[in-house]
Amino acid sequence: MIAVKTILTSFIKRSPLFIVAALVPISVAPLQAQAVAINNFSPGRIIDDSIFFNPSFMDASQIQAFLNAKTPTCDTDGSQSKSYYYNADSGRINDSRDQYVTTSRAVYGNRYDNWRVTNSLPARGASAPFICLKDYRMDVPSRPADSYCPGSIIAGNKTAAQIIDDTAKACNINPAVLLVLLQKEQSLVTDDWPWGRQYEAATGYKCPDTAPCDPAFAGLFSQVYYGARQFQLYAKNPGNYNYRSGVTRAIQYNPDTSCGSSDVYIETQATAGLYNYTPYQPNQAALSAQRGTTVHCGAYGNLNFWRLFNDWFGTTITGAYPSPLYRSETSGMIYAVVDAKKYYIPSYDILVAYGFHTFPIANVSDSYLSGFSTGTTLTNIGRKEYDPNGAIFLFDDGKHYQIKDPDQCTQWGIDCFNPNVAKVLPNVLMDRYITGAGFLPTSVKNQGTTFLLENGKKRPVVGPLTNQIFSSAPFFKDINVTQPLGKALIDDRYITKFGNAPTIYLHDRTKLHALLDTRDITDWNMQSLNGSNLPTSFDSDPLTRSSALRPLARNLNGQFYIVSNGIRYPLGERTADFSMLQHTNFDYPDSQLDRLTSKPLTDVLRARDSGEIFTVSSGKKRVFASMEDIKGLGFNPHSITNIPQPIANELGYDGLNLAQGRLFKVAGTSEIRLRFGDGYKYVSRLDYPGLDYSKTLNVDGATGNLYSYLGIYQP
Amino acid sequence: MRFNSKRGVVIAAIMAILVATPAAFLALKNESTPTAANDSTSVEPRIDMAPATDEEKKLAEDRKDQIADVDAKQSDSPVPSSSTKPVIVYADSGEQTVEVGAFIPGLNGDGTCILNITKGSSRVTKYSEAFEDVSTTNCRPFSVQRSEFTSKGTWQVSVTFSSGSKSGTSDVKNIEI
Repeated sequence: MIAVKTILTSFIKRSPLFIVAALVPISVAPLQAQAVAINNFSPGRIIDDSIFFNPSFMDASQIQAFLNAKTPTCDTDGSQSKSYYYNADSGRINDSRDQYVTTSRAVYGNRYDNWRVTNSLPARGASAPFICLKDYRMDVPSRPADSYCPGSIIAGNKTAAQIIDDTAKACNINPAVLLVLLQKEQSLVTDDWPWGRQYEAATGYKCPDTAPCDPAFAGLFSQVYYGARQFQLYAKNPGNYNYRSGVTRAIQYNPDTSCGSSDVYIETQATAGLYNYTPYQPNQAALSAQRGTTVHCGAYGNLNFWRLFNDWFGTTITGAYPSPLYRSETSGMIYAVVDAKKYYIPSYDILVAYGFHTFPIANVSDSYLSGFSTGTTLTNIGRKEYDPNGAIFLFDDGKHYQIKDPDQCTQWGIDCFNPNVAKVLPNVLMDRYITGAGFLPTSVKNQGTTFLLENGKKRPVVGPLTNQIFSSAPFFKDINVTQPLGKALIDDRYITKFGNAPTIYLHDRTKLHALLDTRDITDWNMQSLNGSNLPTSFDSDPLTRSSALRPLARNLNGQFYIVSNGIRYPLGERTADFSMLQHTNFDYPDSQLDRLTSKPLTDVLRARDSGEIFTVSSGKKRVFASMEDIKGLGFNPHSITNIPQPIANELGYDGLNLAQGRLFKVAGTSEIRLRFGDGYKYVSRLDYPGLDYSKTLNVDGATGNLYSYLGIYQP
Repeated sequence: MRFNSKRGVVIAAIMAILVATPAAFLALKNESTPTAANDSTSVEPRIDMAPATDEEKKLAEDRKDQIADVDAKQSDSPVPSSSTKPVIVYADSGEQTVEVGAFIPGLNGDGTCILNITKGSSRVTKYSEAFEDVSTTNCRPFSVQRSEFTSKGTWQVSVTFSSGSKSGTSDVKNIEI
């Protein structure tokens, strides 16, 4: 626990961000809250690739200094004491049936090797002098570069520190990893009287505990070199091995399968490599137990690796933990570092797409960044490196949405199968930092508008009723809603206008009808309809215009109506009297016209504004001069339909309706005429002085032409 | 497409909306610069230069004792024969493939791994290479197309290892197809 406390204290000292993240949760993304605490062993993320595969972590002189520091004095001649069981007669050693004795380590080592030789077993190199790792030298053979260790090894007599440094550089492995490996496997770093066997099996490569080492790989150099190379084999051929980054595996607690296992999601290739190297994880008892003690079914290899690295070299987790982000101190370029690769983030929009805008960023030098290989430049589309289903995802605000099928690529206008668009990304990048949000939706909200994605365009959704249908559309960031605007999807029966243009429209079904008069609202019973002003851009993919709203309208069945004050009046047999006038043609069913209440049209009509009362025939109106004329011609003066003025204005003028017995005089003539039968007769004041000539009506020529001459009135 | 009528906005409101400026619809807002992204810290390696702790020294002694202990056991009995029994690491039933991985404890030389997935009289068999890893013998992972399975339900997975005179068969694992 002391060591853990030291790590934590050290980390806090070096990372003001850690304190910020802990004290100011509002600036910390939810993902951070889910991350493991720094002092916890995380079986899926024992060590990050950017640390594990960093060969520049320390150089040969630092390695040597580190080894000197860990073992300041070496018991080379084995003069320190050692207690053990020993049978002086047979030479048997380490058998509890024998006497417990104390001698120097040198004597113990000699006796141990002799006992093995006596039993026809190879000696363990347990005899003095004991060469500590800091002092160890050996002849190293040359090794050519290959695809796993792209640097060559030059032959020569080298120290352990040089061997570690050479191998780290040749195989792109962190020398600290190799030091920890040497300690985890054989305690060589801290051992002040190491045996030959420990060097022989220094990293455990081809040296199972239960069997002799493969002699082809025995010895410090081969152990270090091939051990390091093996991790590159795992990294470069992940499909050949059981553990790899981005998958969940049941990892056993112990070689004894009865100890059980648990599922572990492996987050980094370095962690996968450790499990390929040693396929066991510590159980809870091992994690909970005091350090230095052992528990039933415990397996300590990978736990010790993590503990040793943390104790000696700091955190195994990269970046401004738990963020993967680095910023170049010189260029300001921001990268996400995952699996020892740096992925350039080209814009703030992309940062937001991955949800990284809420993550802290570590400022580092370019030389530090050069330690990572260069991955692809991030886009808002990607797919996992390992995914048998080959699913493609779109990233938005820290969430990844799976694209259902190629058709959805078309709808969203995404070039899904272009590798420059849909980038292949390590599983960890997507699984750890980005939350899965299911399938990509068909509609999204952006900038206060809901859009339906269709054929590569975004169709604005307008009106409360249509919005209700798409109410579950999630909010998406701008970067993912850059499609050109498509035809607006507007509520049926919706009143709207575009920008500063003056025209107001009724959106009926899928067509726009311009309103010509504000009184259209009441005439067409649109008082309760919803409506709003829309940006001009919503009409950039022009909506279909149909004929403007007029008070004379024709429905899909060819029936004509006069529309007035929320009522439609069928013209029926009188259609021919009006059909030559301008009218609105509704060429679709269930139009606004069809929804109006229907009432029969009276014979006598009144123009709503002018008050003119008339009958209509063949597109012309015959106007009543007075109420008496209405009555006189047999019409009911209380049964008159008010119609919009435009109809009256458009009708031709046929003359005046004059009742029988009406005296009238045509303009430009002097005779007084008496309406009689179908025409008129002249009448004279002299012959018939009893008539009320004061009511003689002066009429126009049209009226005069309306009635035919039937002779002189002769009662 | 027909939607139900929902009334509730009076004409005055409609006309007010109609004359409203479109600016509200057109106004675009840009994301502000993230404050968290401005937080930063430098990253430097740390190397602990303290001498080995007592605990670390004890581990070194334990390691020697472990060698001696194993040696003592080895002198009495060879490697147990059960070490050639494969361990199935995973048997995952995916949407398109079934993936199976296994290893054999200890170094047993190169050989063959045989995957058997059975249900009643139905059987799917695959072979893969067995090769020595660091301290175990690894079966190259199996990948089987789901189309090779004749029926849905619970299938039983086992892996057999064979190398010269050595052989062993894993415990059975169930998977759902």
